Amino acid sequence: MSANLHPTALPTLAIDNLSVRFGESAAVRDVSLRVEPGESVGVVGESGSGKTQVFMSAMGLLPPNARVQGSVRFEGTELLGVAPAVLNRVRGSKLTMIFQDPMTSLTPHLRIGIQLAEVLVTHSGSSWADAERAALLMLERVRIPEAKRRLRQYPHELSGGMRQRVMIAMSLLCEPSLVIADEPTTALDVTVQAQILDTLRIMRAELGMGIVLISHDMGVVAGLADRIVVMYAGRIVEQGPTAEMLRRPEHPYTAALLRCVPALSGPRLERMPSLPGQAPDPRRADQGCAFAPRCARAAERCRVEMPQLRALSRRHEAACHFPLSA
Amino acid sequence: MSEPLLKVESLRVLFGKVAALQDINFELRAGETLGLVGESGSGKSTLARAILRLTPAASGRVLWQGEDLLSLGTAELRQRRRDLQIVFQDPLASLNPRMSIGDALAEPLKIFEPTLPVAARKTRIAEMLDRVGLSADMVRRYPHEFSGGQCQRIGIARAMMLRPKLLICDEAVSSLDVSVQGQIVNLLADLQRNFGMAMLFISHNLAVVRHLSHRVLVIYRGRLVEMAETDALFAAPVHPYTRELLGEQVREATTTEQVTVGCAFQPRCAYAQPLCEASVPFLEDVATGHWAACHRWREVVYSSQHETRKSD
Repeated sequence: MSANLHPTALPTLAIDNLSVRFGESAAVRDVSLRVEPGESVGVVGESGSGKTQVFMSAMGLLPPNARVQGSVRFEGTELLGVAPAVLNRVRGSKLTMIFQDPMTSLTPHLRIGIQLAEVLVTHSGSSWADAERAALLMLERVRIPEAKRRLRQYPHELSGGMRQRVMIAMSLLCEPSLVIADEPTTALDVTVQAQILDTLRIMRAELGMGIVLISHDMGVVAGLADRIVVMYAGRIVEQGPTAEMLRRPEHPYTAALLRCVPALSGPRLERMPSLPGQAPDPRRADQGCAFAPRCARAAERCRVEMPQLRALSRRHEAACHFPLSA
Repeated sequence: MSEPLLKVESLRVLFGKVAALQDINFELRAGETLGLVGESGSGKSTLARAILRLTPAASGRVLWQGEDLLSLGTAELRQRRRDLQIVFQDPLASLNPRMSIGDALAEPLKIFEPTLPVAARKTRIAEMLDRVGLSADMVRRYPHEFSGGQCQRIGIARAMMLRPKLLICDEAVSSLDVSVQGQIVNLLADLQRNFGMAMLFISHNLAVVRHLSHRVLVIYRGRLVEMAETDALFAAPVHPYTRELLGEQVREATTTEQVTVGCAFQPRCAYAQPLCEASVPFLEDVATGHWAACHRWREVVYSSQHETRKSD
């Protein structure tokens, strides 16, 4: 893994003690996270877990009423609280983001070619002609059929899967160090989902950029991530290498999420596995383990003392008083 | 076998000149769960809407307990609709934000059982909330106070208030977290056990369809391409499109143009031959209770058996 190949390199993304609040609600609570150069990190959690807000704060895309604390550094440069001009040197070129809905991420009344070329004209100062040529090459690289014709088409003329590939092409035009993909396949059909994940995998192999893949579905991140980070109620509750997280989850929440991935083969079960109960109120005070009310292993200690992330093996950490291997 | 609850015959729906659905024929028996799978744009939701006459059909029949819904007048149709309810994908958007949960659940009763005394209505609402795993004291609260999973429970409670004979679920769990999907799927199964309604369960999530359905229909570009008992379909899919859905290597289409003659799947199909470009395949019996619309189904079955033997 890249992290081991370049032990002294500056992390691509370094998040330290990040907290995001909206009025009474705490969306992100004291999150620290590294993404090493070329690393692919899967971030998994339910809606409301804060997984998107962590990366929206890095992109400077939080709504104005958000109160943010902590530090987010991209290749050593602080991104929190800086002027938009500073942020714009990085985001959209070296640090890019792909969203769930490719229709609303594209401007409906502009041709695909113009929207792609604009990225290079803005960020790299290319001429429009050069930028269009580069756009065409990138569309071919992400394997869009009939790429040349697509340049002159409008977003509504493309299928959902093709629009998402356009978004991937756009995110890669300036050779980013890191692409953040937030539920990039959730709105797409099953067969197209697999194609989009393949495209991301191939582009990462070709271009060597890092990827943060955000999803509520363990099954989606499992195929692409080197490392998985699990978030619950605004905090990281477990992180570790993908194979280990899938085979030997330590946090009962991670284990529950894994059980919830429905199977296409094997015996049909009487009950579909699910996680009982509700996600906690974001206004709740930081007391004890947020997962305790839904946890079969919870004891008195879990309700009063908040578990801290601690190493259970060399690269595997969990925030649980009673990890599954114990 | 008893008379089917719902029988759809040669249903055709046009959007302008484009056929969104054509040659749709299938039956749904009382208490049965029929899964309907296909990609976006395949016509899954249009089929649900055409059955309920929320979208007009160009031709064909929708026989509900033997009576064609498409030929009914507005007043009669409205009476029948109490037996056919639908739950949509976006649970928050399908509830009126200005209506309390109690009012939302009372509405169907006020319309279809106007003589029901207020106290009895309140009891029915409280019972249904309890059935769907919510507490009766939530009646005064509003949709925005609930999570996505809870809103979907409210949507299901509302659809079940009149004890329908058919519940159509149009991507009812698709926008929910995986952890919550299972809760809602189990709830639907419990409700079916209690109330015995039939379900048309529309989803692009095959694992959920497999879990819940007795039989499955596969739709591609507005036509049914395969229909079978759930276990048979997942164990031995016949149509090349179904096989692709179930994880066979996806092929890039040779063209993105709409196919107007021949099989709509042919540009993507590994088994395609000149015949497939020339004529549309119709559903054929491939085994007991198993139909597929593919000219080359025998070759598909043969080659898949051959593959299995090789890998043994």
